[in-house]
Amino acid sequence: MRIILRSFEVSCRSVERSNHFPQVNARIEFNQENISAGLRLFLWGMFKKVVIGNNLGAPVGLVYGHMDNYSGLPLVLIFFLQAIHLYCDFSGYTDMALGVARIFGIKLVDNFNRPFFARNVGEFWRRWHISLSSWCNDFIFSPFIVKYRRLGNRAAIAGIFVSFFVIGIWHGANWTFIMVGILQGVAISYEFASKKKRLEIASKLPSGMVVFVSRALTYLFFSFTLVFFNSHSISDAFYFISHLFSNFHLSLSGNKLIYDSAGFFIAFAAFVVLFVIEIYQERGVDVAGYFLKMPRAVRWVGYYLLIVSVFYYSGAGDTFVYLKF
Amino acid sequence: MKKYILKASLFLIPVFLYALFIFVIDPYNFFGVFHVINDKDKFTIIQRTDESSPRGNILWKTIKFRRNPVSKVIIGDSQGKDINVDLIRDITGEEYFNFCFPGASFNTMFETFWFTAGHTRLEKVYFQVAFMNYNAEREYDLFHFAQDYFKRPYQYFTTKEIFFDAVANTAWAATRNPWIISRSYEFLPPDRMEELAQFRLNLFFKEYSYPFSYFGEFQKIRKYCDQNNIELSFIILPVYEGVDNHLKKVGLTDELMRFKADINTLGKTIDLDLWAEFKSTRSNFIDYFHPNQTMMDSLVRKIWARGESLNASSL
Repeated sequence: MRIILRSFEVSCRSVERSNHFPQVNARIEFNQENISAGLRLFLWGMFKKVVIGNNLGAPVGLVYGHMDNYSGLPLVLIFFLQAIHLYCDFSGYTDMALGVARIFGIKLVDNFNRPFFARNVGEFWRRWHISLSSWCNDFIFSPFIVKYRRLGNRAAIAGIFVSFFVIGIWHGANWTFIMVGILQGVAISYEFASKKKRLEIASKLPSGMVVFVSRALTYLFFSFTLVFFNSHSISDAFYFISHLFSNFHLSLSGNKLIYDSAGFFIAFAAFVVLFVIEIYQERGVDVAGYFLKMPRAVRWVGYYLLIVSVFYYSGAGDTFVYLKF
Repeated sequence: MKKYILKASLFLIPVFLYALFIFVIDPYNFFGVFHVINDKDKFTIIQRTDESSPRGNILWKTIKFRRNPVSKVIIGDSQGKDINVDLIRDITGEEYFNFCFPGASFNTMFETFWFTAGHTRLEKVYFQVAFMNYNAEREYDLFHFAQDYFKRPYQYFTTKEIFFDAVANTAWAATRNPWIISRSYEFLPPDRMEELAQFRLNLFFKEYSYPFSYFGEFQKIRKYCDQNNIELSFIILPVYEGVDNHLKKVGLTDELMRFKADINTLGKTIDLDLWAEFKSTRSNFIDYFHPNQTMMDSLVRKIWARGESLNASSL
């Protein structure tokens, strides 16, 4: 049983630390609280993975598989959707793994912390694939800057590049992933070098606007790097970028992009719900706690809705994006 | 823990009721235990929309065939869907099974053939073939819809379309509201029908490439039939002359001739698409591709009443 659990956890590509191993080896503790919490987390993860991830993954896969067929609006749509697809696919799968582990009394570290609310790329990596980025921070970046501290800021910038190069390579031995790592490294180095100046400008602007623009720019930058992440080659990525606004028509007709329109719109609506929940969580509201205090009938209707969505609108995707890495 | 198990059981009651609903209504006779709704109504419900019809016809007919295999089959697409096997039985005294599905591609028909061959000792096989699908650009297989349910029977409960079919069956049985069953293209008003015809012409013939693989698969089937003493025939049903005009316009007439020549080399071919008088009358067809039921019945009489001697000139 432990082996099965461990394989599941490893295959979700969460990079667990050795200090979590003792509880894996400890006696399995079944109790009502763990089973309920685990099943809830598993169901929620499955909803994110199959209802949102799979349904949005179909057009994303179609475009990256037959890029020559598309230009203009379909590429713009995919540009904005791909981050949502990857987030729901990966975080959904992680939640499923965390849920299964929780059923057996094992509490694993959460791998995501509402990444789309990050105000800069550095913060984004403290919220996205936390287990990998924190591992790189502890075992690559920190030792690196300690060793080369005499070089001052240059050591920090070099450390950032080395860390993101490793993150890029971790995803696969392909120039596209190395490019993703380099782009992230450039962005974080820029943020590091320009922090004072940016804070100075921000202090003169309304704070709400600063937060909104920062989040939007971070999302745009991440989406931009995903073009390289999802493309089969660097030239495909350049095709994507160069055809975003060429031959542009305000129409999705022509080469078909969305085959299961019902599934697609349900996925989009489900993401809006997920996003609203995350807005409240970001404001410090304990949404899960609030839900659990609701009358049983309401909670059960919520569970049924998730179960029905999972069975009826699970989309065509049957793979987990991160199983490739 | 005991209380928890009780709560979990309560939670599962709606799931159980849902499964029971599908099990009892059983829109495709998948289990064949309950017959709360008669087969005629179930088959009507399957054909209520253009989306429900292809999937529904495949599943319905496959389940029926698995239960009672027949040694004489007609395999084809939507054109042959209305070939009335009761009428053939009246004419010939032979029992046929109509395995024609709306939306069936050639790949779907090949899969259907191998499925029938795997379930019974075939004696006669008629392939109803149409040029509109003899196109490598239209390569897909719908037969997996049925196979999926046999491989994973639980999908009968987890597919939303099956649930919607069960609800439609119940609603039709309870209300007899014609709206429930009349949303397929066959019920379109004449102006919309013309619009649909143009759409379909464009859909079928916008891109064309010669389907080498289809001919190769037919040759395999031909060989299998020869080895197993199965009588293999082909039927080409007529289409409205508007289709021919469109083919001329887009330069596909030679390809149409090539299709017919290919089919002719494979075995006895009954080409009813040469019947000019029939083809020129729009009212003989529902849309440009599908003869109406009255005309289909007369075509069936022509094919099966004249038997072996039938050819285009005899029409």
